[in-house]
Amino acid sequence: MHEILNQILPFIADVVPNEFFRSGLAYIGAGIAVTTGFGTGIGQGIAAGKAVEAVARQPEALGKITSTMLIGQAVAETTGIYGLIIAFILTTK
Amino acid sequence: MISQILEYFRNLPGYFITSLAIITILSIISVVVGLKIKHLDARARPGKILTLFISFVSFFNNYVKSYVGKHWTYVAPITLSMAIYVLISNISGVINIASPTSFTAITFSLSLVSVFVVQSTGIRSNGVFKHFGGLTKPFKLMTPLNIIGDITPALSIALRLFGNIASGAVIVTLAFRGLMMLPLYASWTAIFVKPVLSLLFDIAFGLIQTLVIVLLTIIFASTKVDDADLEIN
Repeated sequence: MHEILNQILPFIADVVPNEFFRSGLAYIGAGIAVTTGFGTGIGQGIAAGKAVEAVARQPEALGKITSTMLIGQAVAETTGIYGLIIAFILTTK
Repeated sequence: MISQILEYFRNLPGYFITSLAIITILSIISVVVGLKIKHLDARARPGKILTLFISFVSFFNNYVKSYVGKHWTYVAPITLSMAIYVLISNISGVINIASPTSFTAITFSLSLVSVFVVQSTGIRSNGVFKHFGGLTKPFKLMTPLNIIGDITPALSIALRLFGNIASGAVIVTLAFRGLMMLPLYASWTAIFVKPVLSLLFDIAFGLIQTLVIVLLTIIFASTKVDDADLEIN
């Protein structure tokens, strides 16, 4: 373990924080920012599932349920969109 | 002075000109339709297109009425104009021009209009003192939080619209350019891929986002309206 670390560490210290290093880190950050879609997907899935349940219970209210579901999903989407905007900003760095 | 103004107009960004064009076309159409409806005889039967306009506007008016009650005459026209503008500019990506709503300058102006509508509806309904006094409800410590809660919708509405439309535009452009880079025997598939992606990202998402921005404005406005104004006879 010690030997491996001793082999690797000089290389890490040699990395010069030049522009390529910065833009590489920015791309990694953009990748991390996009993972906000994880929570958004779960939230939208829950909304869609509950809407299906509601339609199964009350098929005559299909139109209202669908529009309410779309609004809720679009609002839940906001956090994912924030992540995406941050990723857009980071990819131009 | 004049040369500066000319220079300014020469350097206008493209989306600004698209936005102005959309507004001009919509204004002309709405003035023509409005004049036609105004001069309509009460017993005459309007044509199919006029009937469509009349029924759509009355449907929207009734919808707004069910949320904000007495103040629908103030809220309905401004939100309907906003809705038509946002819808047209969202789906303008179909004809391969950059839609204005995929730029933050336009979406922030729209969200400012939205916040203005919400606050002014509250002032019209409650009066200035009661409206801004409502910020101290339920107790005084909540005032900063209430102020933040009134202002952040501007940010969230703008960024939501911008993010949705811009991401759709990016995906459509990416797929289109990527396919065009291929050799000819593969790149012709772009004619089938682009319309499908446009249909999904420009038309479907554009419609949903139009619904969302208008509904959020109306719902936020309805929370500011006094309870006594909600009932209309």
